[in-house]
Amino acid sequence: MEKKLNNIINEMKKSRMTAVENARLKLRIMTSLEKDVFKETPIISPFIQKSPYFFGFSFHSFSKLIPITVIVLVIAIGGVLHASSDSLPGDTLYTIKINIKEKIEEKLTFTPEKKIALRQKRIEDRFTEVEKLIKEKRITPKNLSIAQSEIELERAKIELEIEEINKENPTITEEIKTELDSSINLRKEQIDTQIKEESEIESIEKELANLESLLQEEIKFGEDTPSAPSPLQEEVNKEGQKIPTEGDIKENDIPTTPTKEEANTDSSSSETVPPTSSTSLLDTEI
Amino acid sequence: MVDVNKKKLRDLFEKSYKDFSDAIFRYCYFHTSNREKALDLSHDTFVKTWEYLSSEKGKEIDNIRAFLYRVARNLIIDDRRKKKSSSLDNLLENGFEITGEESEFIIKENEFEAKEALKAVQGLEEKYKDVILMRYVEDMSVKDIAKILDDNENTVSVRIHRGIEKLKSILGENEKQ
Repeated sequence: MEKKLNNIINEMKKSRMTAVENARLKLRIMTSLEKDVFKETPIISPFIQKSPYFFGFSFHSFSKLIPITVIVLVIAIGGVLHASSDSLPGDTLYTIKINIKEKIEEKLTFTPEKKIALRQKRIEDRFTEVEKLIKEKRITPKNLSIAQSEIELERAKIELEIEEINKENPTITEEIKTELDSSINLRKEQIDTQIKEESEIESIEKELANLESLLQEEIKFGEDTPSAPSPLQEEVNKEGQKIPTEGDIKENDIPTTPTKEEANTDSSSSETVPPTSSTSLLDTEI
Repeated sequence: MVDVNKKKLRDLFEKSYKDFSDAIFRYCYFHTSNREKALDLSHDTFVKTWEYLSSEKGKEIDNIRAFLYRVARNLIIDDRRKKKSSSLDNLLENGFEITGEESEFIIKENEFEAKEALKAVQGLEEKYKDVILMRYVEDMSVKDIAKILDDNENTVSVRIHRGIEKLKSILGENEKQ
């Protein structure tokens, strides 16, 4: 009997409205009371339902636009921040990288040890940025000063963080300081040598370019008037007069095939020294 | 300020509808044995509750569940008074048939049990039906039931006990038949 009673009670517990009945009841309550008594509308025909992808200009639709605007803004801001991560000093996005992205990172780091590590990484980043600028030949005094001031700022902030730790453990802080200074100096030297090398390479490249242009001019000039000496040739001739080149020496030592002029001079010389046959010629004239 | 209060009220009402609409419907249904009538009564219960909530007196409600049952119970009594001719007693005399509409309400696996349940509950007197439904079907405390019925807790406990005994005897009789 107890089991039967329990079964019956369980069956009674299971009984409830059907979905249609529930919707009907809700709708009736809504029509009897204020329409906004329920936030959600109970039954809406799919034929009269508004497309979720279309927004009119009614005031009601603005409330729908708010979450979408928020999503779009989040994506846009995220995109700009991501894009700014590759920017270099002097770029438009570089200020965003320094003032927003890195500030957020800073806010999300809490312990002084982690903050120091973050700032050390930033100093390293600034140096790599300068290296990139040098490689891309975009280094200017302005860009360099931006990077320098950022490094100095981070360095100063690290000192402040160190003071925090200093209260607890002074020996470790000294180690950090010396390590930091040595690494910064090392990187500075590297950058300086890179800049020097780059400037040397640039000057050599400039000279090469000058020489190339002179050669081009000479070739052009040579095509127009081959006998007239070009400025380069003149330069070379002058140098040639001072120190004879191997070619000159060879020309003097080894006789080449005679030119027309040389042939003429040979014939004239043969006139001055009369051969045996010349008298016979005179004889015939007489 | 008014809007904030209204929003709070709306939230409370919406939540109470979500939590208790089925229970109120069930309570009305086991009293009337008619789904349409039960829906009407449930509708009236919620409408009256909202009207009360949004009035000045609404602040006095401390247990919305008990309040809903109280309203539903009063509505059932009013309805019974209006239509004495189609009372449950008449239904009992003529025998209670579960129509096609009701079968939708039953879990088909235990159709026999469900039929039995309806039949047994319909055989109970109103005062026992109330307490049995509240105590065993809706799992209410004796204190809450006493509050809804505006009665003494001891009286309610005795009524529950007697109700169960009655139900058992009805089930026993049904078994013999």
